[in-house]
This record gives sequence, C-alpha cells and structure tokens, in this order.
Amino acid sequence: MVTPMHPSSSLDRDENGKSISEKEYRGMIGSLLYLTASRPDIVFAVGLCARFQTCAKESHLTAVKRIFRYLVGTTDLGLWYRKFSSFDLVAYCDADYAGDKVERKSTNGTCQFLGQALIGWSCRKQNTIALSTTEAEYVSAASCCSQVLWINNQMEDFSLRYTNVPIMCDNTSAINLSKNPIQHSRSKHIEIKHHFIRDHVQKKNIALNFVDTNNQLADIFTKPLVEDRFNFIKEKLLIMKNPNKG
Amino acid sequence: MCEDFSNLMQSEFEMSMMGELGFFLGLQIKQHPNGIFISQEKYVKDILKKYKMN
Repeated sequence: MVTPMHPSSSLDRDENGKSISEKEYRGMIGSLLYLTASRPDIVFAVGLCARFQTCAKESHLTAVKRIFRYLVGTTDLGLWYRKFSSFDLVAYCDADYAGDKVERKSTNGTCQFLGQALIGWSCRKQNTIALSTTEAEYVSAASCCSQVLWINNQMEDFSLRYTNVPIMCDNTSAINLSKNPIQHSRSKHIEIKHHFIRDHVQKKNIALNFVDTNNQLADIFTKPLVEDRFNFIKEKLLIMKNPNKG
Repeated sequence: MCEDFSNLMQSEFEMSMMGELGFFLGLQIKQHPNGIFISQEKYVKDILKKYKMN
C-alpha cells in the first residue's frame, strides 16, 4: 500500500454492515494514535477511523487494516529536523468542506513550521457546521491562529519574537474576511469565536496569506490523497527515512 | 557548556548523566551533525506483530 487510505473512500456509519469486535478495533486505534507522534502522514486516516469506535463495522476495520498495510512498507519513516539557519515561523491551514459524511461537518487541517522543520500539526472535525467553503477555511484559519499564538508564547522564552506570522490559506474569500471587519449577509452567521482571528490580524500578530492549492501543505490533514500528491506533501513535511542511513 | 549544565543539574537534583538520548517515550532519536531524526520504527514493528499484520 502506498497511501494509508484509498483516495476516493469515504467512511460513514455503515449501519447495515457486519459488526466486529469493538475491543480489538479500539485497541488498534489506540496503538495507531500513539504512532501519530512521529507520523503525520497517517494522522488523517487514523483520526477518521477513530470516529467510528462505537458501533465499528467490517468496513471500518478494512480501512484500519489498510493503514497497517501501509505501515508494513514504511516502518522506517520518521521526522527529519535538518540543521539550517532559517527560523521563520510559518503556518498552513486548510479545510475539507463537509468532509464528514455523518454530520456534514468540515474538517480542519493545520500545520506549523520553524524554517523547514515541522513542529506542529492537527486534523480535527469542526465543531460547527460550515455553510460554505469560505466559512470552513475561515474556521480552520482561526484554529491555526490559536496554535500560532501559543507557539509564539513558547518562543518568547527563547527571546524569539514573531510578528505578522504568515498563515497560508488557499481561499481568497477567507483571507478577505479576516481583513475586513464589515459584516456581510453571507458571513453574518459565523460564530463570534471564529472572528478572533480578525483581532490578531489587526494587532499584527498574524497575517493570512495566499498560497495556491498545489502548495497547500495542510492538504494531507484534511482528506485522503492520491499517491503523487501524498508523496509530494510528505517530502515537503520532511517525513522521510533517516537520510544518514545507507 | 553541556558539562557545566550537567554538573549544575546533578548538584541541584538527584540525577545522573546517562549519555546521549536515544529513546524517549518510545520515540527513537538519532542525532547527527546535519540534523536530528525522530522515528518510531521499533514501535511500528511491535504493533504490526501485535496485530499479526507483518
């Protein structure tokens, strides 16, 4: 297996499917979740399978087994923190609109880099139901923003201060929404908590910048990808074999 | 500098210097002159064996 999840697969509750041992399924998910500490490439797949821990069906187990089969061929992958001079903080945020087939909620995917080193990543189903891709991306940018603020605080301990930390987003409407404090009819309903990002854009803590979809590295945390795309992002995130070994 | 730090820590706390870090909470850490590599290769092999997927 070259990817942990089939690119066109979408798991749902599968209520008519055959039930399987919940204990074994939970055990497998637990083992895989611990592995995500050094393997961001499987975070999305594991996270998705973990949503079906109650009433797990055969189709879910098949998906989990595929992750294991992917691992068989990639046991020696890890994170490479190369020595380099750049120490810039850059973040990426992406969202998969209505990616969740059960509740039609969107999926957040975010990651943060210091220079080229991947220091943080997350994949999460959003708490609110987004009505548009823009809203989904905006919510994901807000969640990425809070992570960046935390990293910023941590870096202050090392006397590193960042301003206008770029958060890369591939949706121009979401970017404009963060700059423009005017309420539009299409965005009026967005929960107030998500608008805190505007505050931080104004205070110049962060800046929402545009990145084209191809270079959106948070893509890998929002949906199953095809092999080429998957490997491209994996390489960018420096998920690789130890380059000092044979 | 590292030695000074090691001595300082040992004088303040009950601890000993055990050399370079290789394993930490199941993470394998390998330090090289050109960077640091973090993996869970051993853990992956263990869980594959546990679920008979190898």
